[in-house]
Amino acid sequence: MARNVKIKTARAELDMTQKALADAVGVSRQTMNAIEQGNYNPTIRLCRAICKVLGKTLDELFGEENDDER
Amino acid sequence: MKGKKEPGGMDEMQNLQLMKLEEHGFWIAFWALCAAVVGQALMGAGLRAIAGELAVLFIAGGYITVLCLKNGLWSVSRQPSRKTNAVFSAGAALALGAIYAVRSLLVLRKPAGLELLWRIVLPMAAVFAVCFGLLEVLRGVYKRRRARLDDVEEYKK
Repeated sequence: MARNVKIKTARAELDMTQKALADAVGVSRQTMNAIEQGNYNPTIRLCRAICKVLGKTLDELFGEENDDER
Repeated sequence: MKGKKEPGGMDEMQNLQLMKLEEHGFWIAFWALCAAVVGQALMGAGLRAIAGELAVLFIAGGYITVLCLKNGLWSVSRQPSRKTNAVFSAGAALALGAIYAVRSLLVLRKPAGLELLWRIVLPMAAVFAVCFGLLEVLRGVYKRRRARLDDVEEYKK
């Protein structure tokens, strides 16, 4: 599975740590790290929660262009 | 909106990991129990001695079978077919035959001969017939259940 650089970039724009984002969406940092590393495919519920916190759309964070970033 | 956490404080990924570990644990226990039953049978244990293990195996196997059929699930790797059922039934029969042969020849020190052949061939045929019949019945039940689960009306306003 490809790394999700978009989440990391969006998080950096808000000066947010991985832990802060994990707490905001109600998951562990281990899970948030796995999502960014491309080791875990989150449910649509969690995807939407991440998008809401980072102020992005599903397409912006989880769109197909992420598949090219490895 | 927050991701849903379990009462134990686990999030969705940790929950999934735990379920996978539990699944692996179940199959390790299942096959270890099978190996224990075969080992005891090879050492000459009677049905009464392995009744407890067999009961656990039947409960676990029955539970999996009933719930899989209820949810319209068969196998990850194989489509249900008469040929596959015949192959697996033959495998079960051969396994039983091998156990009986080893037990009779090596453990119980009984001489090989026509009597031994019938002691092995008849149970093998019986196991093949029972396994194949049961799998064919289950295949029929699965097909009907699958058809019923797929035959749902779409949501209407």
